[in-house]
Amino acid sequence: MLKGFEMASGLKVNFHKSSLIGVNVHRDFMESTCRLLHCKDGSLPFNYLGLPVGANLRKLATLEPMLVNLRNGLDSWGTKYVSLGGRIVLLNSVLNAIPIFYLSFLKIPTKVVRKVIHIQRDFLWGGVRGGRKICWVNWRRVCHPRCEGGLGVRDVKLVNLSLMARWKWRLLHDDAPIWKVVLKEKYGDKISGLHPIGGSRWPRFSSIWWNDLMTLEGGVGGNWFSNRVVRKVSNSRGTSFWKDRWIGEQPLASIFLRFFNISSSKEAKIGELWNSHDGIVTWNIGWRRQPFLWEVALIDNLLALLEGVLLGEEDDKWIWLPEDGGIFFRLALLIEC
Amino acid sequence: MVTFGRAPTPSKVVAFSWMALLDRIPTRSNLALCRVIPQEEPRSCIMCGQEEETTIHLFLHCEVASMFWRLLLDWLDVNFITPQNLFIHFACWSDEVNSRRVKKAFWLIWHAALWSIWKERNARIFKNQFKDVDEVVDEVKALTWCWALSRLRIASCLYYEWCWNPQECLIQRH
Repeated sequence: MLKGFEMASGLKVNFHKSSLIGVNVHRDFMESTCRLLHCKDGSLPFNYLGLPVGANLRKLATLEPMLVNLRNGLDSWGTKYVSLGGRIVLLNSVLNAIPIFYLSFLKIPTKVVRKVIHIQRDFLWGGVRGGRKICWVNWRRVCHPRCEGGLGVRDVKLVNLSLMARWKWRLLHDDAPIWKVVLKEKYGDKISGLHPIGGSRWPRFSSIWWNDLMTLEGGVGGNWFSNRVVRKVSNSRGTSFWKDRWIGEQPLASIFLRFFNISSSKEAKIGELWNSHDGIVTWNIGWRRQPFLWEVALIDNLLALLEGVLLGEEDDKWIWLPEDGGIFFRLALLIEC
Repeated sequence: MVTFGRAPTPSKVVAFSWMALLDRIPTRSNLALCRVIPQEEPRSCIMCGQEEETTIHLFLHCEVASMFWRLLLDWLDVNFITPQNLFIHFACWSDEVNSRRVKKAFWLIWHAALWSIWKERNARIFKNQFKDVDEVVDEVKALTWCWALSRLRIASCLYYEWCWNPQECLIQRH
């Protein structure tokens, strides 16, 4: 297989640098294959592209390299004489940026978050090796954006959450990069949807990463992601009429539960029910039985809600509704870019 | 609230103003609160020697400070009564100015004024060097003249012109 790869790409595998890791293979076999391929005999966990693979992500020791990185970054400056203003700039540009790579992939345990903030705070008030200094301003205040009277330092936990939410955001979209295909094979088709807390159950073999991603909303003010993301309807071939949240605050199925129960097209997409003829818009929602007389009046309510919906040519897409002034307003900026 | 990011002042000065506005600078009163200096040590303001040295007293209500601000206000040709706290003071400071450019310069002068008072206070306490209010005001003028020339895009002017009529200097473009 590797030979094929070499011929196809013109690249060569450097066996000296590679290591072979056996999964459920006998020791003797591993040793002989390593000798054959001139590889090193590796073992889990190992680092791949700078991230730990196969290690326990909940352990402090796994993320120790990140903290060491941060401390090394500080030591190399030796900024004994940098003023408070200079330290703010350094903090914003460097200390905040070093952990980004980890933060974008792993959900960092609270303990590590606290350690990172500790390093940042000590640096802000004391400089490098400054010892204990008085922290004059509350850290939460420091993390406010500049226009709200803070220093615009990014809160590590919020950055982590938003960068993780970005994975959920990517999952929502329709394209199929290879990582999504892998996930789909493992967890089924329902991966690309909104997953409010307790919404779906995942199998026991789910990885820690996947579990973290799916329970992301539990930590802070429930369902902040799934409540903020809505479907922007355009040609409506991909949006479910009853089950997606596309008009109003909730899916139509939960507002008009009775009609959802008697409708004959529960899975229908919006585009299939919508008809436009000579500028007159009609909805042909099929019913299982004839609606009762008193229900007809309520159906008018539903139709009134739907009035004015015009479908266009573009594909539907997900949009993010930022909350004005809420903390996730700031997150949103990170998610969308 | 105060838009700090926009001020064309050196970052250390802005950072200091930020802490001062939040009342988080090591004045004697704050140090006593944090138990850095013992409770029985005198907490009087070094400028006037009478009242406790709180942030608001040091920067606004001390007689030296109010004299200092009056001289600056005369220089800039604006007028207002000394308000309750630094936030309102900052708001009043550039309130009458309409032009965005001049506003920026006024903020710069405000930050510089705060910075100079603090430097003077530290010099008095730690180096035992006392300066008159006039000298501190001159220092602010010199400091802001340098900063304005290097950080604001204004036509070059002499120090003498800057002291005479800063608004005139600010309006002239390159």
